[in-house]
This record gives sequence, structure tokens and C-alpha cells, in this order.
Amino acid sequence: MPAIEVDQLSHRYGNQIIYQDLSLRVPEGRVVALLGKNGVGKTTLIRLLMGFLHPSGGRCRVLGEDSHALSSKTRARIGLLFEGHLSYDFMTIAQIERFYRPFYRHWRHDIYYDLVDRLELPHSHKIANMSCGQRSQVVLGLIFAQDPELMILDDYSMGLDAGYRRLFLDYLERYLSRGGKTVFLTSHVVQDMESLVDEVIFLLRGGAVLQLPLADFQRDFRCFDFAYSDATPPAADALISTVDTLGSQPRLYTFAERDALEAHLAAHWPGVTLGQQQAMTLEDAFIGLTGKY
Amino acid sequence: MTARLARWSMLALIIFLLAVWLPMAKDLLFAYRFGKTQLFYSPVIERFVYTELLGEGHQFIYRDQDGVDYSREEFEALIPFIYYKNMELWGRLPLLLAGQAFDKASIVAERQVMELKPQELPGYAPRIQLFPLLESNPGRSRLRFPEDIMRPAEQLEFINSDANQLDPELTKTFTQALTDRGFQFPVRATFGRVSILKPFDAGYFLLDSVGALFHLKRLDGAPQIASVPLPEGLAVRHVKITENKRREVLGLLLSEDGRLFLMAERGYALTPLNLPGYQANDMALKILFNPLYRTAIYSDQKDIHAVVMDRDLRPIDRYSRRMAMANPRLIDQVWEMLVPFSLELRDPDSRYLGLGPRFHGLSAGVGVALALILALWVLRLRGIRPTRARMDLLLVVLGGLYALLALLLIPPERGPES
Amino acid sequence: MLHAIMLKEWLKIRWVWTAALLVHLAMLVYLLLALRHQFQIEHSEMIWYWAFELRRLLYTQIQFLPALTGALLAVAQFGPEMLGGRLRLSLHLPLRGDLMVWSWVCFGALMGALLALLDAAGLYWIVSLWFPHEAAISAVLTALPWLLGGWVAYFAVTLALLEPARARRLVYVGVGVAFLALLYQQRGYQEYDRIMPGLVGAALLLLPAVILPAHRYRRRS
Repeated sequence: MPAIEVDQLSHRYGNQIIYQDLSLRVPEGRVVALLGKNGVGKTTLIRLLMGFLHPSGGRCRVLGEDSHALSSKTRARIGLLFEGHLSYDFMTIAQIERFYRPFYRHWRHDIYYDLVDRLELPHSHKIANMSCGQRSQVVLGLIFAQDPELMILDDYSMGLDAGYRRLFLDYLERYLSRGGKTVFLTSHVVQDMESLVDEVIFLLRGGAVLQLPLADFQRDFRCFDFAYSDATPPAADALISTVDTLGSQPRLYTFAERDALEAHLAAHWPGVTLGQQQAMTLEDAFIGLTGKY
Repeated sequence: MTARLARWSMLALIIFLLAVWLPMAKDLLFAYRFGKTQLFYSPVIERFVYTELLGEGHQFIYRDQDGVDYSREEFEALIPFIYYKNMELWGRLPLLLAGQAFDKASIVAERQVMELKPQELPGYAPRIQLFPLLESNPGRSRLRFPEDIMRPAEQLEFINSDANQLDPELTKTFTQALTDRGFQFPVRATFGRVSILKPFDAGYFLLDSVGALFHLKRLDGAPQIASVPLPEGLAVRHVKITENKRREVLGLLLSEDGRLFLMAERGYALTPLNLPGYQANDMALKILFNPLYRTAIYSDQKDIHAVVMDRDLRPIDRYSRRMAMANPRLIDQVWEMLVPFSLELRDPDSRYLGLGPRFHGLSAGVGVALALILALWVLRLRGIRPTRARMDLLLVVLGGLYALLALLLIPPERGPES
Repeated sequence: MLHAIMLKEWLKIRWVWTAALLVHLAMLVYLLLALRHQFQIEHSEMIWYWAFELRRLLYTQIQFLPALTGALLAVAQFGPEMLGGRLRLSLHLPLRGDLMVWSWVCFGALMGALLALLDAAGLYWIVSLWFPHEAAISAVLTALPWLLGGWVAYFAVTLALLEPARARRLVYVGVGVAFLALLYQQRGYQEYDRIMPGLVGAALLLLPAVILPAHRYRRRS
């Protein structure tokens, strides 16, 4: 059974359609990243998954339960990070731990303080008086302490510095190593995904979805330089994912191999000559797929 | 389940608030300015005459019981004992009536008005049971409040108001005096008129635990107690003291079985008043005294009645009529059709606030039907099948327009209610 | 678990509640001084005449205090929950949402009730300094609808704050105002004696009703 199952989901704000017929699965025991540009509805999807929004159509199931009727038992198995590291910031470090502890049977008091004590703040320090990064450490500490089966992390990296992001990844690895854990996350920092993520789901504008193992994406998604003399530059189509003519060196991105692409260009864009294939970081590839704007 | 309970609680609360406030808003918007009819007995034409406001502005009519209309001046001249000051101004004093002449002094000497309103009855207004027992012989022109207050209870206690403490001396004196006269404590009821703006002080009437009535006064600081002889089987409900300078009548006595008596100052003699249809619970009573007649006028919110009596309280004539204010106004008729009931916060006959429902009867079926049609129309607009909103429609049947408004404000939540 | 919930609610309202406690004490002191002043400048028997016969209420200074306190407690308790949608944090806790909301409002109402109790006891004590105990009891009975106003204001503001839809918030505010306006219609003492049970009954409807906005919060689109 998948940990998260989204079937033909559609949602709209007023007349604005966010998605239509969106379907995806997060298999149990995998780390899946939901990637997409701002405004494609990543946070909305997480709200729908947790039952804080009512979809216009379709359905979501989380750990086998309808997401707008999640039982308390199931909620206890889900560690949820809200966007912006939402927390009760009128509480202190110690108070918030005392607050959450009784709700969870497997509460890991030690993990929380292990993470939070690295802040070198007194336990009486109020969350409201913390920096954004400090606050996120506290909130992530709470989620780790909860020791959930499923973590849903909405933009976990927001406000974290590079060092702490690494620390978080270490913790996440240790958490995953215990087995049977599923993580569904969104992030702005794509480069962290490389070492972390098994699968990626790209949420594209208009609700299109591309889900594939990260390794496949890194292997199959390619970037080529190209030149076009007097002809019009190629446009995105079935074979060409995106075209970038904004930089000094025009580039196009595709899942196709060189031979197939050359044949495609000769047939449709005769004025275009294909150049070198360029190596890409994951971030380059992400931007290549989703476009710069 | 709890969400459903939540919604129905909110609906019930809104219907309750609407049923209190909408009728009040209606009364505020369509203010009722027709007061009660003023009914008198004219010693001039020996007929009942009345004046009432019929419509907007100053549409007063002045009319007698036979339907003859008068001008205002003519009307006032028909009841010269009431308008004796105008009579004087118009040079029409002394009056010549029934072969007797009445000058200003003789009219003034004979005039008296006694009143008894439901609000004054025990149980119709909250009253802290503490009463100042005035010195009946103040030795000066004006009465004054004593620095102690009487608490009629297991004994007749007096509490000093400066010290806020029981005055054991005074308490003992008065309690003993009452006991000596056969008073059975505790005090069941206390009747009196708490005021210093009266020509003299008549003290209080105290009802003891076995229903005997006593008259208590403080005279030169000492208790003066008289036992009031009551006819066999008379249970006192209320005594209204009227300390009038004529000193003929001490007050009115109302019995538990609804009989009304005039109580003479001398010997507490009780004269029964024969007032057909008089209901102390919801009628305001006035007794007008003049040199020739005694007229009892009493009315609820619909009808007014009058009995004219001679000086010895023998009935001469009587008259009743439906007051103009009882004529149903269009707005009230429409209102009673529109909503099935109202909760009335204020009762004109009581100081206590109420929430008594007043049901509007069958005519309210029109409003319920209208509300039901509107409800069905709204359901149709929202694409909800009527069979899926059975409980809501039932609520409209019971609550009419109130329920419809409540449902519009708190429509059903969509999806299964968990 | 309940202890944890109480901890959070207390942390939210502790300053406002403490401030309210001080304000209530200050108002009671003011009432005490005002009455004392009254008895200094007027003859005691005249004041007793006003109080018993003319039905003048000598303690109206505190009439709106419970309602104001109720509204403030609700803001202190549920304002922080609504900022940035923090209610979701609570709704994600492994506890039934309705039980949680009830435990919140029970805590808030209880803390309000403590202040109401202080008001009632203070009023009784102050009035009984200068009046016989009947008058003190009467004062407390007269103040009951005002104390109920605290409950109504607390719940109306709670409903309005928890509610996700703006239009519905107005409905709840309207209900609160309409109810509150019913509680200040007195022209003398103890006029509510006969309808207090009915009004309390109507006010109790707010307790189940307070679930509605939290339920709607989960179901909005």
C-alpha cells in the first residue's frame, strides 16, 4: 500500500484551476521530493493531503485513510512540518517539548534535546525570540522526537544555513535507517536532494506531473547547446522539454538521446545546429525542466 | 455527530434571538402611539364620555357613550370636576349640578384618585423586603425617613442605616408589641407606601403567618398596632395604602379570590366594590372621587370598563368599550401572519422581564407556508434535493421565518458530517 | 494529554488573565470607594431609599466588565491560534478535534468563571458593608445577567476567531451582540430573576456550537 495516494485530484481557488486530474503515489519506505516552481500548488497539495482543505474533486489517501477524515491514530503516525516552520512561538524550548510529549507514544525526548541543544540556548528561551533558522531547528526536533512513520515536510530547508541543512540530512538518514519510514518533502534547495531522495515528482504549471526515480532523471535528462542562424529558435514540444535562449549560449533540454534529437531538429527546425551536451547539477536539471520563470 | 449538534445548537440560538429581537424591532419601526382610552362619567349629561387617539398626529375624538361628538372645550366642560381649573379660567365656577353649587374649594376638597396597577401586586415586581417605618407624628410639616429600616421576618427587625447593624432595642420593642397584640410571626407580607412626599404617614399593614392583618405605625417612636377586622373567609392578597389628605379612605384591599374593597380610615371598615369583569392581574384600576360620584375605571390592553357609583359606593351605571388601541393594526396583522410566535421580553403588567412565547395562531400558517416555499427555492438554487434537507424543512415548519433566516445564516455543511 | 492542553492554554492567556484579575480587583476597589464616597456625602437612609424603593443600582460600574473580560480572554486564547493558521498544528495532534476545542473553551470559560466568582463575591462583600444582606444578595442576583455576558462574549469572540469564512464571522459577532444586548435591559434590581434559567439555557447552546467553526476549518475549500 502506498503511504500517500492521490487520485484524479482537482482543486481550484475561485476560477483559478490549480490542478485537474492530478494522480500520484508515494510508496512506503521511500523518500520522495515534490518539486516545482513557486505557485504551482505544492503547499496546497500538502494542505489537501492533511485534510486542511477540501478538494474540488478526486481524493487523497494518507496511510490508507481518507485525508479529510484522518483518525487520531493515523495522525499520530504522521510527522508534519507546516510551511514556514509554523509553531507555537509563545512557548519556550522546554514548554513546547512538554506540550507535545504526552500526545505521542514513542516520543524521543533525547532526539529533541540532542538537536535543540546545538542551538546553545537556555531551555527557557522563547521560540518567538528565535531567528528563523533556530525556530526551524526546534520544529524539526519535535518532528524527529515524534518518530513518525511518515514525514511530510513542507519546505524544510527554509531559513536553514548550509551547516544545519547538513545536520538535518544526517538526522534524516539516521531516521530512515531504522526502516519502514516514508518521507514526502518539498524544498527550494534542490541540490540537497541528490543524496537524500529516491524519487522526484515534478509539479508543473497547469497541474501536469512527472514522477520518476531521481537516478533516472539524472541519467536521462540532458542539456545541449545549440545555434540558430537566421531561423527561429526551436520551441518546446513533445521531444524538447524546454528551450533557454536568455543566456549567452542558447540551450535546450530534453529526455531524448542525441541521435533522436538531431533527427527531430532536422525535420522540424532545419536552421538549428546542435552543439555539445553539457553536464548538469541537479539544480541545473531542475531549472532546465521547469524553466527559469 | 458533534458537528451536527453544533449546527443545531447554533440554529436554536439564532431562532431564540430572532424571536426576541425581531418583534421588538417591529415595534420600534412601527411605534404604537395610541395610548389607552380615557373614560369618564359626566355629571353634566349623566353619561359616560371618552376621548381617544384614532390615528397619526392629533386625531383625538371626544365622544359620549351615545356617539355624540364634542369639541375639546365642550368635552372638558362635560367633566368639570376634572377640569375645574379650566372651568375657573373660563369663569364657569361655581358649577350648578344636581341642584347643588360647587365652588373651587368644595371640588378640591372632594377630589381623590386611587390607583391599583398589576405591577404593584406582590410577585409582579422584585422587592427587597426592607421598609422604612416613618414617624407618623413628625411634629413638623414634612415627613422624613428614619435612620433605621424595618425587616419583617421572624421578628420585626430594625437595622440602623448608619451602622448597618441590627438595632436590638427597637427590634425587641416592636416585635414584643406585635406579639402582644396577637401577631403570629413570621411576617407573611408587608404593604405600605414608601415615600415622604405624602400628606401624612399611615404606616404599614402586616399580614401574619395565619393570614391576620395588622396595622402598624410608629407614633412618637413607639409602636402603635391595630388588628384589622376581616370578614370571615377573606384572605388578603394585597393592600394598597393611599394616604390622601381627605382621610376618608385609607386604601384598597384585594382578596386572594379577586374581590376588591375600599378600606375606610375609621375602623378599617371594608366596603366591597362591585366591578364586573375586573381582573387585578392584568387590569389597571383607577377610582375617581368627586363631590357627586365615585367612578371606577379599569382596563387591560383591549377593553375599558367603568362603573359609576354614588357617594356611598352604590352602583348607578356601568359602561364598557373596546379601546381604539385594541383595533388590530395592519402591520400587526401582517406580522402575526409572518411569524408563528414571538418571545416577549417585557410584560406591561410586570417589572420582571419575561421570555413568554406568544403564539400567533392559525394565521401564522401563511408565513410558515411562505417560509417553506422560500426554503424550497433556496434548496433548488443550491442544488440540494428537499428529501436531503428534511430536518431543515421541518424546522421551517416549526419556526417559520425565524427558522428560514437561521438556515440562511447557518446553511448545512456539505459532505458527510463527522 | 489534558495537562498539556491546559499548559498551552494557560501560557496563552496568563498575562491577559493576570491583567484582567488586576482590573477586576481595581474595579471592585473603585466600587468600594464610590459607595463609601456616596455614604459620606449622603444620609444613609436616603441611599437605602434610592436602592430599595427607587431601584437605583449603585454598582453598575462593573456591568460591562465580565463581557469585556470574556472577549479579551477569547482573543488571548484564540488570536495566536489563528495567526498564520496555527489552528492546523492543533488539528494535526492525535486527539479528536471536537474534544480538543471543548477542552480549550472549558479551560477559558473556567478561567473566566474564576473572575466572575471574584466579581460576585466582591460585589456581595462590598454591598454588605453598607447594606443589609438582602441587598447584597439582590445585587448579586442583579449582576447575574452581566456575569452571563462574560460567557456569551467569550464564546461569541471564540466562534468568530475560529471561523474561517469572513461572512460567517459576522454572523457569530451578530449572535453575540444580539445576546449581549438582551442582558443589559434592566431598569432596577432582580428583573432577570425569572428568565435567568432560560437565558442560561440559551447561553449553554454556545458550548456545543463552538465546534462548528473548527469543523468548518477542516472542510473549507
